[in-house]
Amino acid sequence: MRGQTSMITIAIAIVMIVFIMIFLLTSSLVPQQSQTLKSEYRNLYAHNMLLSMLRMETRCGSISDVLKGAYFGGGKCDSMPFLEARLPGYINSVLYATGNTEYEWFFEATPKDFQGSVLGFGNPAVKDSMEKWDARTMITWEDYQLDVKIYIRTK
Amino acid sequence: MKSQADVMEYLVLVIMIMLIAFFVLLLVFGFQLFTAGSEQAVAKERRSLFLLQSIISSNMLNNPQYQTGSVFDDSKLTVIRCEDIEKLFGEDAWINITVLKDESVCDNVAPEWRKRNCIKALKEEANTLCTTNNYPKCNVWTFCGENKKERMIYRSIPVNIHRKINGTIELGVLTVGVPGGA
Amino acid sequence: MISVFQIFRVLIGLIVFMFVISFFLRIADMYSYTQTMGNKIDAVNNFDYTAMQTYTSGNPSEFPGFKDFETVVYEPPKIKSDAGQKTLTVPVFFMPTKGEVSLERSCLDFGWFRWCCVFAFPKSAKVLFTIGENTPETRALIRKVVENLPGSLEFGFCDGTDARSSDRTQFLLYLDGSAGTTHRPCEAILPDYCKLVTINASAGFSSRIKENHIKINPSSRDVYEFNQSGFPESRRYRDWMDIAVFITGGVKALDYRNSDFSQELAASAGIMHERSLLVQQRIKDYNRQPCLECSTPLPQACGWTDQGGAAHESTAYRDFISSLQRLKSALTSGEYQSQLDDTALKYDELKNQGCES
Repeated sequence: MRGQTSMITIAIAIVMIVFIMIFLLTSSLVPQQSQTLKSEYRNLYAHNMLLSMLRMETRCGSISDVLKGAYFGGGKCDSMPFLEARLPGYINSVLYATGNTEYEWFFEATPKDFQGSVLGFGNPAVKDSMEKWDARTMITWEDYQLDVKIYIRTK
Repeated sequence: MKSQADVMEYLVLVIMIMLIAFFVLLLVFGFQLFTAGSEQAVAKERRSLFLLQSIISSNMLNNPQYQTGSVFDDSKLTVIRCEDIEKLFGEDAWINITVLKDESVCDNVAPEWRKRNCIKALKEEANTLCTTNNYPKCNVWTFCGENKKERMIYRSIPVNIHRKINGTIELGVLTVGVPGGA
Repeated sequence: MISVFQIFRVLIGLIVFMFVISFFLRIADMYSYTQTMGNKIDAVNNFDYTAMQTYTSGNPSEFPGFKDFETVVYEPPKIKSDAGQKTLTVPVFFMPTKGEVSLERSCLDFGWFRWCCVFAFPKSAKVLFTIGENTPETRALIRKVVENLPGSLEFGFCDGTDARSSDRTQFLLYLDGSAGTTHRPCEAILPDYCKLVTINASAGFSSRIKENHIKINPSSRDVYEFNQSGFPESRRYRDWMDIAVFITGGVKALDYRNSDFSQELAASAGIMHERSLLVQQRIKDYNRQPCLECSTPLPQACGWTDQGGAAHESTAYRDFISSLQRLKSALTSGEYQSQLDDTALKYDELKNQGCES
């Protein structure tokens, strides 16, 4: 009886040790450095998405000029219909071409220190998401500044 | 009999302890091997990220007017060769830059059949690989195609391409590949 | 009365206990060595990565240091330490230390060609100057060097036994106000991670301080470093970057800088030459009168084709292309500085004409 009790105790101890080992191993399975690199890539992606989009030239001028036209007028074409018709297509074509179709986005332009409405394109829920990453820049025209941001998350 | 059982019990206990010790050893070294393997993967990831950052900031490929980088000069892309890329960025990289054509240039084309032809021409030109002969009517640059292996880590980011001759800035995608990956 | 079996059990228990303990101690020792070596390799890789990030972004950064290392030596481009040796990915000029390091990028810009490197200094490092003959050119050279070394360094003067340093901004103010001042040879006891730079000193200066001491002679464009046997070793310098590199790492650093710079310059000159030929040709093709495409914003000065089909070449592009050709030839001889400066001037002319942005 005593011998059996000892055996059982030893067996329980072995099983406990094995489970603790497995737990320690699995809890450190994803290296911290890999997470940091993923985050750096995502930030670079968002930053480049925003800047490239603003710089690209269309039949109505650059996107940043079209945005200025939407607030202050004077653009080559009717800014708002152009942005509504074309901007989502440009962003989605980039996501498709970079193989990032699992991303969804929200693009927003907010007037800073002057009167004007906030322009938004894409899925607004992305802005309130906890797992989003974003990029931001300012477009300046004379004394006015437009705060432009893009938010991205995985679906 | 009883003392024999006691001795046996003791010996079994000793064997159990030895087995635990051996198992711990296996786990420890297995973990070390796993860590070494994942460090290799991290090194590859770093390499691909560094390659992206170097390419978008390289004076030899970009328009220097844009200090923040990521605006490639299409004439520079057309003349640069794989040997130059290898000297600048290392010997294992595969690089592709593709312009995404903007169909809005055909918006105001009329009648409808001309608009369709405009879009068709854009699509045909879209996949044209650039050489010094067809420059600037081309939209794709690929470097070091022979470095492309079955298992590669690919990373893509949006960029701009400055068309030197007509002065426009177009939207495009930069993709780099380094060997490795699952 | 203790039985034989009980004695047997105690003895077996002791033997097994000793065996198990020694076994685990050996494993722990081996594991600890592997772990320590792994941490050291990680530290070196992180230093390389921090330098890469500084190089591509241009943002200054800091590295926490090589803790628990026994030796850290830098022979550009290799860093040698307890963790073996590693060739750094980008051009780095490092004053070796085990403590915290400040990294900052510095670039030489010729318009069409830019060469950058990363300076890595211990956070507590100082650079002291002893000026023998204080001319405006000397002050301008010192200013350029100081502005391009990491901002965390302290800079100062050494005059005889008086050695004082301050932050960069303060030092530059003192430098501007030092016209007419000359210094006696430095005799002060220098702290750790302190480099002494004697510049423009006339004959008879003290060479008592040999370690971490470099001398600059602007009239002959020579820089000197005392090697381990106590004799000066010299090189010619081209620009402020050479001096900054020499301050950081001496003769070996300067030789590496020249080698890396000339290789990259040769590759870039070849690419730019071909590219300029292509652009010159295509601009003429597209810049036609009457305007068929109306899409090129480039002025006629960049090249054009008239109504009769005659092509008009751009003299600015022609001059730039010839200058690049001469630079490529000069690179083989090693004496290319004046030709490089000429290409920069020709590129500026292209920019002034609106042919290059």
